[in-house]
Amino acid sequence: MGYKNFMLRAIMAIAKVLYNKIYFMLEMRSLKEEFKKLKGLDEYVALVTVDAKNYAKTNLGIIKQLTKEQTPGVYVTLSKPYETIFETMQKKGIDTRLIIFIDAVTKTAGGELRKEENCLYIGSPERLSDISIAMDQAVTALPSAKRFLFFDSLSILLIYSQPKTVARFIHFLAGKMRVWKVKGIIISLRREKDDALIKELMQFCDVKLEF
Amino acid sequence: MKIKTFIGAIFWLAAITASLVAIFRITANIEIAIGFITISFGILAIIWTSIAIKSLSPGSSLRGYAKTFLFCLIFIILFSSWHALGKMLGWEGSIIFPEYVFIAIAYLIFAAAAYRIWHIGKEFGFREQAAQIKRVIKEKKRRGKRKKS
Repeated sequence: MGYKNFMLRAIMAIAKVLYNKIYFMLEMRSLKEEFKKLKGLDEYVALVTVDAKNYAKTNLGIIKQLTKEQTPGVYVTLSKPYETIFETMQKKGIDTRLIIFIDAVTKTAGGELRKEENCLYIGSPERLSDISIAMDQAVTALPSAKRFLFFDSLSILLIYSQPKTVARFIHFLAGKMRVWKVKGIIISLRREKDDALIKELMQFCDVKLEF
Repeated sequence: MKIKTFIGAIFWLAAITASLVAIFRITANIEIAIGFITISFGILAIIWTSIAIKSLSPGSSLRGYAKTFLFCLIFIILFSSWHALGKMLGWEGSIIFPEYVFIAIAYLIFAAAAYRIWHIGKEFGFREQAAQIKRVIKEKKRRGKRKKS
């Protein structure tokens, strides 16, 4: 009886791992399919709407796709701390050496700016002026004609700022992305309450990808 | 749009010239006239800086810098105003001393502003990271070439 139970559990565990692997592979395939829309483009502004369930996987998939092409870039995080993202990226085999991180989630001592290795801690997601300056400096410092800017995410910005302020910020960001000539990716969770804002923001972006 | 800008520029130029002529006619003293002109530029600088402070995010480092810069401007204006008034009213003796205090404070705050901008430059500068990325890309390209050959 014990042996049967053990076997059943082992089979269940293997099945779960396999399911996750297959699911991830399918996700990556759909990601690649969606990314084909952007193939051949060196600069664009893409608004990516993601289900909460696929959020982390999609983000990682996009970054993996970009760094595979040896494109250096800037990752602005408002959702997860730099340490967490860095560890996950390393586990997934993403070359983090090509990325400059701007972390606006981690609370710093006294809310001051702090810089460590390849990450700049802003101190608070509300400090849009500091985030803008940091993005400007980081993107223009990148030593490549091809570069990306990944903004994670619009939904978090909406928690801290008014929709009007967020719309103005994204308008500014999309305009800057064109000036910087980058592959710009703005991530947003797919939620009913953000529909109106996303529709409004679509006019500033070249393409909308859904995952 | 260009015609509008052009007409606007002509109006600006005319207004500035008229005010300069008025200042020189009223004061008749070149030093006082220049004093008033510099004060008017200082006030313009204060207005622009105040607008900038209002638009920047609360707590942001640039807003902090703009505030420090505003204080510098205020003390420079105070110095210029006191100096111009002294010349106009013929002040002598200890009454002119506050202008030295104003200019000294202005320079002190300038030093603080310079320290702030140095700090901002250090935090927001990504030169080292960029150099590292450059090295990584070069290394990857070299490896790619080796694999091909």
